Amino acid sequence: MGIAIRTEGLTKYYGKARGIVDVDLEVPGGEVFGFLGPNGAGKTTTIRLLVDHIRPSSGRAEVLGLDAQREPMAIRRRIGLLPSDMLLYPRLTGREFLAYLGNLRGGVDTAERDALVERFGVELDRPIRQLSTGNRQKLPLVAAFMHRPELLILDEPTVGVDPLVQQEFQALVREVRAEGRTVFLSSHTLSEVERVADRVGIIREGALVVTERVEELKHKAIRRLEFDFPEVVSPEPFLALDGVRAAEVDRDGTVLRLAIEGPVGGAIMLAAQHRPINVISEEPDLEELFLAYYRPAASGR
Amino acid sequence: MLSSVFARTIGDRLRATVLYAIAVVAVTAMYVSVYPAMADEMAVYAEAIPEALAAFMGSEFAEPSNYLHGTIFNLLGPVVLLAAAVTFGAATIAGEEEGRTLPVLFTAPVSRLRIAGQKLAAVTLLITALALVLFAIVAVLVLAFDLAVPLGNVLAASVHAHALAVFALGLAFGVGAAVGRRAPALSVSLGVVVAGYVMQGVANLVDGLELLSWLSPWYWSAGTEPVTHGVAWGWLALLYAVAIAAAGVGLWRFDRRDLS
Repeated sequence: MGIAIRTEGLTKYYGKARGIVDVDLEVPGGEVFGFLGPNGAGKTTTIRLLVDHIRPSSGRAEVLGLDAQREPMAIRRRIGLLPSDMLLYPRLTGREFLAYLGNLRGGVDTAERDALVERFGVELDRPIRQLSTGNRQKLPLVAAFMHRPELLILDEPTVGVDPLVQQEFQALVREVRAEGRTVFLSSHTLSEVERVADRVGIIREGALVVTERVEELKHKAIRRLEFDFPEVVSPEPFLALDGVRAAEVDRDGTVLRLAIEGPVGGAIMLAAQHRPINVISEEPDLEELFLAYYRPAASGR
Repeated sequence: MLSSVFARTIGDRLRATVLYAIAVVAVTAMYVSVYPAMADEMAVYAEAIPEALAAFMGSEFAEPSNYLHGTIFNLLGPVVLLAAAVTFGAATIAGEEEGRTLPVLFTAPVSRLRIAGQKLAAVTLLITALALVLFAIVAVLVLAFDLAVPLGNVLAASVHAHALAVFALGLAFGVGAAVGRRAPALSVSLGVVVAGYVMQGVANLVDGLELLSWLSPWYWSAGTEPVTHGVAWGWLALLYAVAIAAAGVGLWRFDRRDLS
């Protein structure tokens, strides 16, 4: 399978404001590519350039071997797109909305659509304005997948949906990959991308910082654990562990906070000896992950 | 109603169109139905009204065609049609872009020009329907009250009113499609229409400024009093031509610019 997405020096300025600068991306077919970055980093700008909603200031983009700017219709026929920051026609019901988008595609296989509706528990018969954010977001999700596109471009698809739907979505992405299809998934949370992506590109302030296999990334992420002990513990033994970047105690010495780079197993085994009452794990902070790529001693490269 | 962008746009605006149609019928019926009772008195008043007011309302006020011109075709008919044209025109691309319902259309393999073109065709059709309603209600009233106005002239005046509405629609749609924001679309189209109305009034009042009225789209629409004299093809063509040009520039920009 060829290259699904390729950008060369892709740059977009909005007037003088920075969108993205000189982004070189390559996503081979059959891969799940996570496009990770904080809000405002340029994820949406990149995606909008890929589907010709906006035009680049310089550089170019190819999707499925087609030039993004010259052949947007051919591209849109073959991809499933979930744009961010859009509203659905509030007065339509879910059924009408999906029928409308299906008709604009010249008709879609209703069996596939109905299976997706069933799977995500989509509310079809109420006007969209009456749906909760989570139920509403299921509709463009179904719309993106219902024509079985060979490439899915999804901009923050699970914002606002409940965890069960997120899991279902992740399962769907894995199935799509198993069928050899490609998924380009933008997100601002490492945990979501970690679960489904093969490779991850990290964008920050409009620049692609790094592209890396997910396993590598997992080793570089700084994870924060907080243990609650029934007794006073000393942070020193934890600091001596491999990968522990910081350890501090709080509240009379019974609460321990750790920052760990890479696997957390060693720290958990050591903590277990003190019979912890509770443990809290925080979402790795993306800023810290970026710093990992600028920290020569820790990066191991 | 969901098979195309065209049908969807008709569906979206149907309710508003029906309300505008009711307004056209109500306003027209109200003014025309009082005419027979007032005709004799008005003949007297027409002699007495100040020259300044006569300039605004048209002379020979008491003739039925002049009455229709002064009340319906040079004022109330166009006003309702223009209200619909300006709001529909601004809502069509700019309103949807600001309302953020446009991106979802661009997930489908439908080109920008097809989406915008179908939407424009749909709102143009609705405005045309309103002009037909205007013609129909005036024609019915003319027959009912046995007014001495040829129906051909009523049709001519309705077409002229339609042309003015399409002119405003073209401006509102064109500006909206070009910049993607509703405020400029509304203010440019409304501004031109209102400025044109004022200009025509002033031109009629002040000697030597008659030529100024030629710059007013109201003059193009009703200045030749089509309800009395029939279609003025040149002015009619000018209104439609400006509409097509404005909409064309809007489509051209919409196809090339960044979507917001």
